Amino acid sequence: MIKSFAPAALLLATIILLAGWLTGRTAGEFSVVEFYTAEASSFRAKVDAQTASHGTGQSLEGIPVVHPPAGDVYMAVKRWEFSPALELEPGARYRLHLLTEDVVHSAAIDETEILLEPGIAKVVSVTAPLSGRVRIQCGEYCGLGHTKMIGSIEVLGAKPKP
Amino acid sequence: MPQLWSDETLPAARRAELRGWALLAIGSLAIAGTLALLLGLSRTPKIQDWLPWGPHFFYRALVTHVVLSFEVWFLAALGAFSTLVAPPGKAGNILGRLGLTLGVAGVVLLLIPALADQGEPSLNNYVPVVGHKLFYIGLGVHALGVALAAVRVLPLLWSTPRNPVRFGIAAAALAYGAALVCFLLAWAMIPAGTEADLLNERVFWGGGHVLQLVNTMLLMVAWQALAVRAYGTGPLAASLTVACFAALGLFAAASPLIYLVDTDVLGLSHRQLFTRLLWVGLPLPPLVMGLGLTLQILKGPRHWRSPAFLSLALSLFVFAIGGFAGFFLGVADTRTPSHYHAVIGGVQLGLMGVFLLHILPILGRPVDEGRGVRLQFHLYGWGQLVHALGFFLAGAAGVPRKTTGIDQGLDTVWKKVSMGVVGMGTGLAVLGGVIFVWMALVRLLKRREASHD
Repeated sequence: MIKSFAPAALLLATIILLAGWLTGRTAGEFSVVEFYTAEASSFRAKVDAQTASHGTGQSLEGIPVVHPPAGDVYMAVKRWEFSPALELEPGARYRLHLLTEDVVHSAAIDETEILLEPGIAKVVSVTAPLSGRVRIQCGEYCGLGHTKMIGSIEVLGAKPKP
Repeated sequence: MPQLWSDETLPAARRAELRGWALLAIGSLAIAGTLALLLGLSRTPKIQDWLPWGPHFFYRALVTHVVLSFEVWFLAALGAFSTLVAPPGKAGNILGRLGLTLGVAGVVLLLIPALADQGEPSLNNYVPVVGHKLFYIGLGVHALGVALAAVRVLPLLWSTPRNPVRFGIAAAALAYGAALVCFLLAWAMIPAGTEADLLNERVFWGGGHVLQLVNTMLLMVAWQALAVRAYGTGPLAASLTVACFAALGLFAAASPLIYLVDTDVLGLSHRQLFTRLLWVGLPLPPLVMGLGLTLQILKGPRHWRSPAFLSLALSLFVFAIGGFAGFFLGVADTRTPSHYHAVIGGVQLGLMGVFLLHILPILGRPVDEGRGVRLQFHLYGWGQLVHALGFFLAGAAGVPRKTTGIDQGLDTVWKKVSMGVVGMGTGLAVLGGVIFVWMALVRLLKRREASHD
């Protein structure tokens, strides 16, 4: 009895799982993000203006460090960097605007991933933790430097006071 | 079942073909190992200045190393398995010989760009490539060769009574065909002018996932064969084992439909759908078979000095740890390589067992089942486990994957110790791998068979 039941049960479970997979019902919820069309040059101008008004004067491997107030923050993406590096206030909420300036990349921000295509800016809400870092890394293969494409988002409270 | 693996059922033509697939499989591992050595030398100060290759050699060699040790080794194993179970007949022999010839020719072609320092390397997932016509042609010719060998076992899907190993190999052949269809559909659907790195990533993404089902089936075939050798019977009732293979085969056969359901091959949801395949379609059959195997091992006897038992038990343990780790992955940290190194290690251990304990004896080139074989399994098995454990601990602490040097951000003792554990495991596993390749290659290259002189 069990000998004939077990194979049938396994195949039935497989057919149910297969139907769920093909219809997308087994997927988790994809992150919903805002998006808008954007020219790379005008987006870059916003990034530069942000750096001019909120830059700390420091840089990380040539990438300027910016300490923006809560609200809209602009980050340009290209092989193989996220610019600028951000310093955030603990617990503050930010709307992070991301635009790729060259090829397709993605931004894996902690456990969420957003695909970035040229010409389309994506906006994702980020609430800074009370301490530590928000991890941001490219998750779409984009060339030999892909694995090194890691941005820097530090929460200011995490830094030791000099 | 036992007669499947005995030399009486394998005519001389099939034995010659089997030796060819075995040489391709083990030879590819040997070349991959040599390339790994050159990879190390090309990053060594002073020595790198003496090497006649340019700065991109490291990446070309890395790509070729991965393709040989991951794709070619597993697919040549599928070719070898197909030789063992394909229905007898002239047509099958011709397909097998032609398949083997193309399989070898493909590997020779794809080696040329790496050694001639030509083409842009791309480290995309599953099937990394060198952007050179000869590499792509070589890959295609090799894939076609394996397909020709595999196609002759498809009638076994319908033949009765169903033998688990024969059915499993046929289901793996079906899944391999589905993977090739996915590659072709992706290639046809990606818009012209797509940037090369993205093109490579997405062409090989879907089919690359389906190939993991093939690898899992090869492992389950190995488990069945090794369990029969160690215990005289498989871990499950034959009908349940067949159902396990059928379940994986069904998922693989249906996977090309994703290209109809989600036509944006470059989109994020398409990528995530195939990631879900490994969550939804892959775990259940090896879990069922693995549980059966665990019960069989717990009931005993447990002959730790028997290489068949050792490879079976270590393969199950390492694969299970890797599979379990797969449920705790982050987005981009080293828990991902922890998972796939362990599951691949489990597959490797099973295949190593089948090559050393079944295929070499069938070819009249048996290994002495003594201390050397046992040492090899211990080194490789425990090495892979330690390696995966280190990666998991490092990933849980936030070390990003696929990074080296300062990019790893090893800013705590925990991270440093974890990555030290990774290095220790790598050393042990490499030693085990070298012993395996040496033992198998020396016997395969001997001119005369021991039992057929």
